[in-house]
Amino acid sequence: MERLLEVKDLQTSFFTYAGEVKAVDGVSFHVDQGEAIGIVGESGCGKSVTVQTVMRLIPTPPGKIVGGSITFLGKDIVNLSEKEMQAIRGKEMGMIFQDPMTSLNPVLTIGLQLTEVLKRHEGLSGQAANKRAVDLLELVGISNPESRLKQYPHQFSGGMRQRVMVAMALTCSPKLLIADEPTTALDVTIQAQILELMRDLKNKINTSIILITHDLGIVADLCSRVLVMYGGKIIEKGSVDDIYYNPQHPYTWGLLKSIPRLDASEKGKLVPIPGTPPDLLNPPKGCRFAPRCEHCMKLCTEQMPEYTAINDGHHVACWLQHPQAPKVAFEGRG
Amino acid sequence: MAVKEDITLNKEEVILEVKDLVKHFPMGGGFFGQGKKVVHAVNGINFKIKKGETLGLVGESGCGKSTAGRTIIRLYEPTSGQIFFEGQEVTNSSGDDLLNLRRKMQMIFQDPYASLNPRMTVGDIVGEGLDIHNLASGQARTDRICELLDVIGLNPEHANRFPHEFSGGQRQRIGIARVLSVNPRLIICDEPISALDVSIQAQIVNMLEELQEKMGLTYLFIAHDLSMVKHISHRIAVMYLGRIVELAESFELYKNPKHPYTQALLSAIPIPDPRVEASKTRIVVQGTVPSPIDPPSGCYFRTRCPHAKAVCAEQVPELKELGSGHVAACHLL
Repeated sequence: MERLLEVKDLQTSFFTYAGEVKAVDGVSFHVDQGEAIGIVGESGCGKSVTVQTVMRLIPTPPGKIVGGSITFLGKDIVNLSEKEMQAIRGKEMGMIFQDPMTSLNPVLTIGLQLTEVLKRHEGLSGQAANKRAVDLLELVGISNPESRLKQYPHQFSGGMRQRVMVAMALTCSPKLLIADEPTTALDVTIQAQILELMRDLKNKINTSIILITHDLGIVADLCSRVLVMYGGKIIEKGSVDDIYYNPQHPYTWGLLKSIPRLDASEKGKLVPIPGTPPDLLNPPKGCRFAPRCEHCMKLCTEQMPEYTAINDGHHVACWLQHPQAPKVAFEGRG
Repeated sequence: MAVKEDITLNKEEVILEVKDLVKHFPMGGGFFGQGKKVVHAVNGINFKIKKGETLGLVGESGCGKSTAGRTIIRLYEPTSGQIFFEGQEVTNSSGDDLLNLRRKMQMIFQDPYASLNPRMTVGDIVGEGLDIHNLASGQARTDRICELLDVIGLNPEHANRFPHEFSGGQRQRIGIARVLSVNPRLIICDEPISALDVSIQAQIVNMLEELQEKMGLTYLFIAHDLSMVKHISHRIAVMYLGRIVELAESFELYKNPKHPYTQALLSAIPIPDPRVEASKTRIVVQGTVPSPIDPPSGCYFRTRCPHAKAVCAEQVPELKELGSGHVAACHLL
């Protein structure tokens, strides 16, 4: 499989009056052609900043890419100019944002917003662009596309708007689709429709997908690999089977044990993760998760753990993997 | 649309009964009020809640579940129908009666950022109920506030701080302390966890369960997250466009959903287990929820239902008893 995106040791910080916030702190991952990866974690763990950095959408200042490299289609894009980025954004990389209510321009028709991309990147003229826009709306399952093109965003429901966003992200058949919580604002039946649509795209036109979500169910449904982020770092990554059936990091355990399963046959007790996510202005010195971790050792509060490879693609950053550490196994839900 | 008398529910055990509750919101416009449009938010719902149980009320956004909760606690005046609390009709209570009702019936709101007054200290927020109902003053009031903060896992020193100093989960705890201050019997929880992070949701849900056990509370738990509702509730009512389409014990509802909407809703929820997901056949219902201003005739779900027949457009389906308290409203049953 062709390597589409390779991110190495990426660091993005925000320089605020209170000090430097290391929102993304040494993140490395890759995306191959035609695969879907999921990024999970709580709010404020750096998921969105990671992909916004990849899209080079971080407002500068206060944000800044402090270090690392992003190789997209064999080219390092960290130092590209805004103009060069604009040629990639929308054409090679498409993005779906979380909130379909605010990411469309309310005073422009859907048609105008859709054809803008086509005119810009494909150099299509009015008529040809319109025809493509109709095809796209059809692809994402919007009926009466011709008349819908003349309508404004407020005439669309939430799910329909998110479909328009998907259509827009797909206008130039991007190689990489970045979806930042694409269904969080939607109802479950509509969520199922959007997920079905994304799965179709992956299978039919071989689009790669980076899916950001806090819902472990959606990841299990769509993705083949998962990155678990906490406090600006990837603390565990692996295939969905690795993460769901053989998780190694106590935070991943915590995530899996704190959600109820709809298909549970009896009522188990939820095991919450105590405490709250770390303040990235003053992150803990050692492992970011140490203050909330029930297996915390002295070493954890002093030194950041290195990655340990469990198998080929499964890596975890936890001191429990150290040969001298006590053996603790994932017990599943109580 | 009357539910047949449920034999499993003993009269004394019932804490809340809702009969044919309707809430319509008039919309502006129309010539001298003629042809005025009406939002049919709640369209005749019936249910009972037993003492000490949790009844989950689920449905998609706009199905009227929050309106139902707010009408029951009389934040909205019901258009028609009756509400009985501990055997007494409270549909039209006012003045002291209403004040008294609100002491026994309290509400936890969805947004922990918007539901706490930013200019009041946590102590005053929690103590406000005590003042309004004249339950405690002076040292007794301070002691009670400290006790309540302790119950929800905050320090007594937090009483002098303001809401903005707390995280979302902590604010929701403060909201719960405020509710507990007046010793209510029934708490209406309106999406109490949907604004919180996953790891924090479990903290709040576990706390609600412990409080229920300790204080014998009854909950009406309104939410759209069916996995969480199934976890916390004893029985679940599924709403669609202002009507209850199915009501059953939570495990029964999951194992044996009868209404096509419940079936679609359950199958739409992704389960955090890749192998289960890979082997699952999903029912994807097409289209979106119709507008409550102009709902379809007959069964409201027929426009999206894969099994719709002619009769569905003509008649409103009644809730049918399917054994052991399981009821569903569908012509095809």
